[in-house]
Amino acid sequence: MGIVDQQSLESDRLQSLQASSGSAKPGNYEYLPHTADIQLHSWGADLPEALGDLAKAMFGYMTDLNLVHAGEGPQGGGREISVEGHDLHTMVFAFLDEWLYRFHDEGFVGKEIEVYDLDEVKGRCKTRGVGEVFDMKKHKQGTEVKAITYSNMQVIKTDKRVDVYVIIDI
Amino acid sequence: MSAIMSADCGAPTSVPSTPSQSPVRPRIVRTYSESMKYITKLTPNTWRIAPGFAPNQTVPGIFYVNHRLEQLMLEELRQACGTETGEAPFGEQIANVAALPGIVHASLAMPDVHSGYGFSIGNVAAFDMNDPSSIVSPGGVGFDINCGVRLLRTNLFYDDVKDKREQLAQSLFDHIPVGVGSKGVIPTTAQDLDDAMELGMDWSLRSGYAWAEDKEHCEEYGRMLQADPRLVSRRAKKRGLPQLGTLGAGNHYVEVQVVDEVCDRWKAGRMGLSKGQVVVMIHSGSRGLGHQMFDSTPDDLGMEVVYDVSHNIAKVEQHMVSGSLKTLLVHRKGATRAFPPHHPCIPVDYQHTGQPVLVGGTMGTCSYVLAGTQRGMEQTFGSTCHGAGRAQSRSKSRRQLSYTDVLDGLERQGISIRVASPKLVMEEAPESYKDVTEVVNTCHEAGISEKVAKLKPIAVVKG
Repeated sequence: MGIVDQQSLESDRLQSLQASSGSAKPGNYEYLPHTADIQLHSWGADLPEALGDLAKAMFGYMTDLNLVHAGEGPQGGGREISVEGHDLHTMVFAFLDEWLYRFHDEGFVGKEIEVYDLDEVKGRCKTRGVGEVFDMKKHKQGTEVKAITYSNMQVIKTDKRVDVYVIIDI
Repeated sequence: MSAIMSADCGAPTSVPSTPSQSPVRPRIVRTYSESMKYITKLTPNTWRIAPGFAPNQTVPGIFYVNHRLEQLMLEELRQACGTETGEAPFGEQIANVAALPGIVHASLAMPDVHSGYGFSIGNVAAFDMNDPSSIVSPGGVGFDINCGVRLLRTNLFYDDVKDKREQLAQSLFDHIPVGVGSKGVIPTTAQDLDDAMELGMDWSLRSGYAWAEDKEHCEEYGRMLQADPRLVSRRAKKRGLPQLGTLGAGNHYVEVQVVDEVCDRWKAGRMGLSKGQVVVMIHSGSRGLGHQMFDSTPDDLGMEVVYDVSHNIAKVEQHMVSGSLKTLLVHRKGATRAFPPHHPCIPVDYQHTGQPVLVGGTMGTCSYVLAGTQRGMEQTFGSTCHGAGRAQSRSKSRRQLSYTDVLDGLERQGISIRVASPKLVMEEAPESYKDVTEVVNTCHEAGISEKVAKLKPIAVVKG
């Protein structure tokens, strides 16, 4: 993984988002109750879409994404990661864990996450995201995410949409 | 320190299924009344789950609840009965643990039990070190490895601080890095982190963040001799580095408390606690915080560590099982070690009282100091409760309670609060938890620990 070319990442879509006072695109995700932790539920037309919003859901639990600007912060906004699992569930786990690691390591918070080159059988995908490095002066402190879990992890596919459920440890 | 090793501790843990194939353990579907055939009440506060409740269960499950807490327990079971998937209720989790290879005596649950991943929070289970089939489970410890509570006493009394509550809370909040994204103020290198992991409190002592006598009053004397930082991945260390010296987020907190009630005058006296005295409870953290509070030094304030316990850990210990001495790996997941008087592993100062146990309540309620007992040693591998235990899901709390209601409630009780994340105020509100007094009373009545003192918060700082 490396910091990719700023220009290529900040697609028109993202630039237009920034123009609209930095408010986040309403992602297709929700937070479901769980006794001690929280279950993320995201959905989309296909798996890459659902996964992108899954990562957004995680970052959105840590801080208010409306205050996070794409492509700013000291180290620039772009991050690109190759995710390697060995099947669907391990890939979903590794995907979220890689993004969580970006936060734990360098404080990176993703505002928009894209998933591409997804190979479900091999459990591999690539992902890139834009956002910025967490800054206590600027961003709201939400809830700390300690870890991703396999507990009750579900990927449900129908003709029209894909739903993903992941419980995160908080 | 709690978060340091919590990250890359392997794939978490639906015990004992292999997560990559099937994260959802197939459950035996029983009706409520069928389930209750396996569950019997042994004493007013002790329940038994007979072998057979879970497949391959070799030992019984034992859990401790009094008549008030048992309603919550039965309700949880009733709701879960007849469903095939979803979160297993704690009773089923306790029984599943009782089916793990190498388990001895029983799979135990403390009164603050609630369902977690694989093991419930509040589950205690011990596995025979000399049985080659025995397991060790990260799911039996929890993500927050070595999360714990420390209690400091001061020579101040309530009257000295009652007009300074707000200042106190603000000052603590200003000086302690709390919440998501906070970074420690102690400059640390990768080498420092390795040293801290290996040397534990000896590192703090060497670096000037602790006093020599602090160590004496910590579980394991603040250092586990087997600790080997070479076994921790580089990635886990990178995650831990910025977190060293922070309080953490979630339910971690610092509270300034007053001794509200002394339950055992003699034991409290041995622990240096008397009614009205000001103490500081830290749920994960360190001691340098006294400095700024009154423009005086920790020495002026008579700040001393009463004790420091861990409530998420697996340790090698020796216990008597059916009349013979066995070396066991005791998993305590949301449970506190509570060794009895005269046990060789507890400090000289507490040889006659039993090990102090620190039970943190929830924001705005109360906390307790308990002492370990011989009966606890015999029944629960020297273990007791660790806190209140969740009764309501986080999102339910957020829906039902409002930010201002909770804060007003605290204000009325004379508690000053500073919190990094407003969302947490609702999630961590007392209404979301079981009543800590009922939890502690159950342990006291069952005799697995004894009440020493009740503490009431006056200022709270949370992540």
